Amino acid sequence: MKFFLTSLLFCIFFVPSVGHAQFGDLLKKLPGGLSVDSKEQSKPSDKSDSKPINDQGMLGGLLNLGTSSQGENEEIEIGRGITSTILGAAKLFSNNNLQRYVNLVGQNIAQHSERKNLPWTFGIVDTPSINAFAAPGGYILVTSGLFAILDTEDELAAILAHEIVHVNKKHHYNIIQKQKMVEFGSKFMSSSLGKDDKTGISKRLINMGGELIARGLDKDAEYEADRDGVILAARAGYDASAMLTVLSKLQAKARTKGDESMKLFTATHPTPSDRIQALSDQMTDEIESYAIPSTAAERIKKSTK
Amino acid sequence: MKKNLFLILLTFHQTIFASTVSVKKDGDIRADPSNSATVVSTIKNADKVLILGRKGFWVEVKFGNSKGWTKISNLDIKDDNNSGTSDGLSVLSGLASGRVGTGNIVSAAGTRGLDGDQIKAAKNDEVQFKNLTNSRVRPEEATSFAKAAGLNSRNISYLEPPVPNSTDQPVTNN
Repeated sequence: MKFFLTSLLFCIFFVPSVGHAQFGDLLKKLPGGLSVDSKEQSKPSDKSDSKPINDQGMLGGLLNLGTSSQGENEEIEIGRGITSTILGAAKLFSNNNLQRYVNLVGQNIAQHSERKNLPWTFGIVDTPSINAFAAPGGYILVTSGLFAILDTEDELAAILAHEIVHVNKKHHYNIIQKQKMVEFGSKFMSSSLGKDDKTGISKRLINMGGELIARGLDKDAEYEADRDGVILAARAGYDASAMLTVLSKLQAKARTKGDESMKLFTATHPTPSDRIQALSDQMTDEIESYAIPSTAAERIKKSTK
Repeated sequence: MKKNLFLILLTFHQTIFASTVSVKKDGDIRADPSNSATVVSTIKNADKVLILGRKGFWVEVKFGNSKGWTKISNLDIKDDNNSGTSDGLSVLSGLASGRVGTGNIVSAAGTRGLDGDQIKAAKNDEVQFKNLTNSRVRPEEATSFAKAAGLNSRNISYLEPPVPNSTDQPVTNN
């Protein structure tokens, strides 16, 4: 289970998209469900996603199929597990003001997207590695290594917007759904699924994680997150070109000899310069007119106070 | 004297942190980063230009005796296959001169980064997860925070996905 979850973490900044509508439709028609209410989850004050997470609970979620609402519950449940696992490897950066700041910026951007009611949750994890993680259901983590090279709130907004698109487009969740249905579709539809069956399926789901890593990620999902992320950030009032600034910095870091902070990032993702090129090639005059520093740009300097 | 020294230093700085890239699309060089600015020169496919700076989606370039602004999309800023020059835009990031970041965040996690093995070996941390959710904010709070800084919402449609290029090869990670 752990391995399966960890594989999903490699959707960092840029997760592959394997959207297959037919599986989504099938999911909606199948019985089953989870215990988490998505409407309740949307309330920041709600603590239902703070309940203990265990493998049985997570596997229960992975093995259930249900209606559209239940599908969202499953998505949130999986995201909780993934996020909790990341936090087991990298603790939160110890500054409550900073954690609140990134939530304020991220939540505002999310409110300019199509999935406003997810339990959007943002955090900075303490590690020098440069990366960001998007987990299903609205959980987004940015490493302190990445935050440390940012100069403006516009740049932070660009990163958070990119991750929000990964969540909204279900880039990683769709991979889970697709592989689960491809391998176990008929079994999932069986009402006589026994305990041994579930155990076997669970083990296979764990192996899928390794396969995901070995197979590599779909670059189209990253380009889509870049493209839509620019729009989301601009909708929220930020500099539409801030992602170019971030990617320029990442490109420079990636080319710095002896710098290990982007090792995983560079091994699994399109190069920043390729992404800059793709993004630039798609810009319209309208978007370019929003490529100006926002009025909130300098606020990041007070984010820890 | 001081002015001359400044110009020398500026030229020196630009020489160090500038980068030569190829033109991939015919275009204009304009006096300012704007479609309405005066055209000072034109560039053609395969020309070489020196990148001096960036503003939004425009890049300041030097081409022959001309200096001005052109759109990034006119240039090939990808890695130019080990020719020894830097990627077109990475030199502009500020990292090349060590001038990035606000300096208000210092990691306490040491120098070892977060790699795949660490994540594989990790156990769910419910206390940390609880702390994470405790920092969550309501949409109304976030909206107020945005307005306090003068951020205004814009009504912008998503861009259409680019038409797939039949010559594109799928990316694989080795």
